[in-house]
Amino acid sequence: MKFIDPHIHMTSRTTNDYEAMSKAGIVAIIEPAFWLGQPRTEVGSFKDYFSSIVGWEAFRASQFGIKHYCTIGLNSKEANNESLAEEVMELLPLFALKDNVVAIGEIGYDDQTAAEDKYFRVQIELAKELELPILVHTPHRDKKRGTLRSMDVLEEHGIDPSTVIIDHNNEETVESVLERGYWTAFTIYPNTKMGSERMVAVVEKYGSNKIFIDSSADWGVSDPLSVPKTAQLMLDKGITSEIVQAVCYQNALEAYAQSGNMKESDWSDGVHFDQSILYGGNSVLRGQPPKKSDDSNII
Amino acid sequence: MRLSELIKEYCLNELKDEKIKSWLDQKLHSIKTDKDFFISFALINKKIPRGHLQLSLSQLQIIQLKYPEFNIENWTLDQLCRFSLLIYYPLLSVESLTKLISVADTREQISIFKSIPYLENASYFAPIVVNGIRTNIVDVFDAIALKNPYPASYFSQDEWNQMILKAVFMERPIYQIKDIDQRKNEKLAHILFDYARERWAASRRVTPELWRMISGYITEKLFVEMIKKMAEGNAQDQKAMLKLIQESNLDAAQQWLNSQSTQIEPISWDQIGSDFWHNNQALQNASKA
Repeated sequence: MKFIDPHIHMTSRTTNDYEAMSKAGIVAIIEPAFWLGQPRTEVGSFKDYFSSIVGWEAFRASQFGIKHYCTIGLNSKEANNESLAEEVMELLPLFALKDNVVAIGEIGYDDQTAAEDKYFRVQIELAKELELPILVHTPHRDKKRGTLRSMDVLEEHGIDPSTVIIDHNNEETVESVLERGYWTAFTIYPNTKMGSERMVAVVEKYGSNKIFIDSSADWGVSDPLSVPKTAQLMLDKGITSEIVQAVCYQNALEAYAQSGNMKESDWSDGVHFDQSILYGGNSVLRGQPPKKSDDSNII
Repeated sequence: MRLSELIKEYCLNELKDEKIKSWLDQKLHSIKTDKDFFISFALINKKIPRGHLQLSLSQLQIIQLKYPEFNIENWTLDQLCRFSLLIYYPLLSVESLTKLISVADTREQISIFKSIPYLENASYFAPIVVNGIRTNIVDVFDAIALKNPYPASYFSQDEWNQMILKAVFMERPIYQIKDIDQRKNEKLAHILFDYARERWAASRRVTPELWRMISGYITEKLFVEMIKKMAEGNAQDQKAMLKLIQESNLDAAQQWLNSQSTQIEPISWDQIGSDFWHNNQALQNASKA
């Protein structure tokens, strides 16, 4: 089975992860622009980060046969540094038009401050202008209220819910998000957020319409194989492969294909090891022969 | 007609959507600020299709006759539209181009590096191109190093040598580098021979194209070392080493050659490079299948 992980921060992951992901059947990934675990203090740090996820990281992924996309945006935590946020707003249009950008995101609320609200709205308008989907990060604290407020604000700006992905949902938020017509994404985390078992229950209850899952793996304790592992658990629990395919591949593709920048043909003929000749030294493969894909199930 | 006008005409002809066509035409003649320039450049991704140009035979002949170096078949429409924006923007400074590259994605960087040789003040941008060679993204490296007249014209000897060594290291097709023979030099020959020793110590092969850059600079000592390795090489390696020996004025080389009984088939360095490259590509494709 083929998988898409539509939310993963590969910048903080190793090549071992890429190898394991490729082996587990992940063919495409989306790297939302996020914070790096500590706040940036200079606009140049944002520029280099954006530049890396529209170029270098996509190249790195291609060496493992994985097609890489990203989203561009100022995350809510760092929106609270207003003078810096202003400078980042100037940068965003330059990066949001790039080839592998499939949404503005992840944007939304963290502490739900006035500054967060301001830059959430500015970026909603940017997405409208550039006709890009929006990826919304829902807060860890006061999640339900933050999620409802995010949707209210989006609708206030006249955004069509079918062009928005609301991420990090849980049992408390799923119903209202689905009801209002948004793409409803779940992050499967080993400790916080959703666990695989709970996710199976959500799919059993709500089906697969407009629902998809991601790993949001980053620099913290997280698992870049969350999507294929949860898929396996769903299959083991008797959920049909059509539903599993929708939740772990097709729905994310449909949501982000609206950008015009993501399509199945980007990987169906294989991003496969295009640069396998590069074992000389400047490639990330450094000496070892490139791994070939096989069908063995490592999960 | 100047190259810029010719390319502009071809691009506009190719754009069937009238709205996009007039957008580009207007931008080519109206951009007055870096900000407008950056956004217009970025919008090419969204607005312009990516195929190769459908040129008529006469169009192709015109450009090939007037600008034989340009190789229009190596360019796609979106790349040519970026080329046009760059060439028509009157305020393109080193500073603005540096900034443009710092926010460019892979496809844009490729267009920029392919375009720089044709800009009016091309020589100003040498530090940008030299820095571009430091990329780890192969396609960007290739846009500078392969089929691009810029490095041979503007790189210093050390910069040139760095690029060649990196191209060898990354296993790029050396024969596709412009003026590869004209810019050979003794320092490079010794750097590459050292590189070969390193590879041999690790039981790895070197590209047969390496000998092309060493030819003319072989010393007696290096010759003896090379001959020892010759038997271990495959047919491609041996052809290249033989060619180096044939081109050498060294007494030892000539004596060795005279002692050989078999006839040596003439072959060009380009052919050696192209055979090696295509053979490697075929091996790779086979390993993917």
